[in-house]
Amino acid sequence: MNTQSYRLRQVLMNFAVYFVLTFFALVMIFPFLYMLTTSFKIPSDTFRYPPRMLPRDPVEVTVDGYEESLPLYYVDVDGQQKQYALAESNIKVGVYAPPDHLESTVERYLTEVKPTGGAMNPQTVIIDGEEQKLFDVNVDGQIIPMVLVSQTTVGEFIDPQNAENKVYRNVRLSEPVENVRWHPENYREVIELNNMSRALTNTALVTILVVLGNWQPPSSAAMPSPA
Amino acid sequence: MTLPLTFPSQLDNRTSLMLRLHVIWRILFAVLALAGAVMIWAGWVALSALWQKILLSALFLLASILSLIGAIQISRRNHAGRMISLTLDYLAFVACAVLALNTGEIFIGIDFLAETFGRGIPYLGIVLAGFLLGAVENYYPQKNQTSESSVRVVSRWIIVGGFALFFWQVGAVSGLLYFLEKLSQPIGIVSIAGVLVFGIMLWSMMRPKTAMALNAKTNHEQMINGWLFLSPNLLGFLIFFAGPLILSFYFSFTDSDAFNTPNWVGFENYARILNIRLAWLSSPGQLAREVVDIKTYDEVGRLILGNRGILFAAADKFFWLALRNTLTFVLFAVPLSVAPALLLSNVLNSKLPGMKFYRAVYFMPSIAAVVGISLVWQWLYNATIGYINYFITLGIEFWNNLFNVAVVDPKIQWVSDEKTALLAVILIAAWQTMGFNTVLFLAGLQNIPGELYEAATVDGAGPWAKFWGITLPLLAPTTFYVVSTTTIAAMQVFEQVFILMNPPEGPNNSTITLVLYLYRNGFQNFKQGYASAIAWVLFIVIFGLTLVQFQRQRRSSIYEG
Repeated sequence: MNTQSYRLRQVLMNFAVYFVLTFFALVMIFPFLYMLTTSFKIPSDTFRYPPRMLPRDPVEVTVDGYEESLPLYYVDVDGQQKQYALAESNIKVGVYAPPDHLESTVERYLTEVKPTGGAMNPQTVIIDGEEQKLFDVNVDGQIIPMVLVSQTTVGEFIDPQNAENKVYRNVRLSEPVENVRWHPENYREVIELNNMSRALTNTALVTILVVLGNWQPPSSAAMPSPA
Repeated sequence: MTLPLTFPSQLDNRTSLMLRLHVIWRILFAVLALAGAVMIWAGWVALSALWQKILLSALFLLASILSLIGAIQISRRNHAGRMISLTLDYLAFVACAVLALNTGEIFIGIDFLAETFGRGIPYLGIVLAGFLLGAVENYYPQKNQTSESSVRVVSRWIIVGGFALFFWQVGAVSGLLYFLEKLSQPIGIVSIAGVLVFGIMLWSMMRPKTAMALNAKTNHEQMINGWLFLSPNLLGFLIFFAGPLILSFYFSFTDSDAFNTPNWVGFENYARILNIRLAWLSSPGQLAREVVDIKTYDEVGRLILGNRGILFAAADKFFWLALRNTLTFVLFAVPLSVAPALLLSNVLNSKLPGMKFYRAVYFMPSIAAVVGISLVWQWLYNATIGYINYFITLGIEFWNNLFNVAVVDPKIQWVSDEKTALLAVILIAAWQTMGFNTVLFLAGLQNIPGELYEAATVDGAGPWAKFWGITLPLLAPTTFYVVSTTTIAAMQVFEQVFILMNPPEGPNNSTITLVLYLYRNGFQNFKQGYASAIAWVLFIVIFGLTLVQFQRQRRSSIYEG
């Protein structure tokens, strides 16, 4: 074998060695990393799926006309992803469609739409053998009788720069804007826990006494046995 | 202690008087010990349990007889008398000292110390500062070492002052006063007097002149010194380890329940544990009550052979479930923690840079607290938000996209599914023990001489041939040590299960282990007699397994030094 192929093999061997070692090192250290970063998270962040390593906070902005700061979300506006603030949630919205054209749906607030013919004398239509109520839906100034296909709950998202720009999106499916923020105050809370000082003292005392009790001259110190 | 080489032919008066006093003292000691034994049975000492009476009176009786023998031997100027005398007086001295400390409530005092300890900690900082100041001196030694530098003197006084302030703050003064106050009760004064009397007797017996009078040789002196140095450890071992061990053996033959006087029940506990029935099943689905008496026996499991089967039933079903789980745990956790450790140690043994870092990383889990580790893994195992299921989902998505197939995400309920609960515990244990085993293997590998590998290289052996031909056989003693200690530790699995599972028995008793079961019996159902019996059965199982490993080791290893 010539020296060049020998050296190549050596490099490949070393690469394999570091690969195996790093893989196992990641397996070994992962729970510790997880514990460490989780210790800097806020409670709601720890229950999130999919799980993430770094602690994050939802971003909030103040918008003119709203007293409390509002959480920011990523929303699709005209094909562009923008950051809008959630101004109001739990708005009931009906999805309406003309009886002869069920694919072309429009969304309207349930409160805005009145039954066709008034509440006392609602009109109905038969679709697939089922009787369904008709509603007057305003589409571009025209009143069209439509049926209620489904209902959802949406939130009102507003442009933080211009509160007039509003879109309605499903809140649960929208992704909140978050930034990485560490919460070292978790540690302060732990220290301020009841009995924490006593627990620390007990641990320290037990450690000191056990070490003193087991102390032997370094030359004769034996290898510790597995606990 | 060295003895003068010349032996005086004539005893001086003081020594012969002392020896006479010693004979009297030994007789007095014998009488007192006998009186103690009688007092125990006369009911003057408040001891409820029978075993306590038997044990204490036997000890007193033994001391009394030994003391009489000692008196005879001393009067005959035999050295055996001195040994007996020293042993008895030393033990009595220690007993009196412990009694004195206990009367002064020094052992309970630790509790009070824990309350005030925190106040003193800042002053320990002063001690540390003083120590560091003195340590600076070591790094920058001054030219003339003849006189002590002022820095060192100052640092010493800072240390002393820091300790004084610390003891003041933790209430050492009031503690000392309390100790003395408690000690002034009659029992305290008696025990202090005992300490003094036995101390004086020890001293006078240890005197070189007394020793010579009793024909002490240098090897006698060496023996006494050896036992004296050994005694703190030996006494601790006997009282805190061997004693409870024997006690639990006694309890395993009783119906002890922590509240009432234990009654001797003979082998009843063991009989209940080992009470099993095997029965043929005429069909795989046959009900247990058709073949065994279900008033006594519960079905543990069944082995299906074609359209027949064997039913395994036991009086104590949980013990056998626990045994099955424990053995399954050992069967998987030991190879899973030993085999990767062997691989990693061989890789780590290469002299590449950065190996110390990897070694430290692998060692981390084994020094972490089991409770904390189990809690972290509980999060990782979480079926909906845990990382393990998340990684599985990612892997399956990747696989499905790569090969355009539709493997279904299993969404494993790690700890709440009876099929995976034990596996979850096994993975934690293997993960945690692996690093320690790696370091042990690494230590073993360092002992294999490098010339063997060089010779093998010259002979044209490849890495595999070297591993199978040199590393494995020469590593056999280490492997034996690693496997047997890991097995013993794995047989006693408890903490991981106890923390990870809720309830610890796991779904449908799938993670009940022997130690968990004996803990439940002994400390929650207060059936300590039964729990002790389980513990001894566990001991026999572990002992048997270790014995088998020893036999295999002896047969297979030819290189053991």
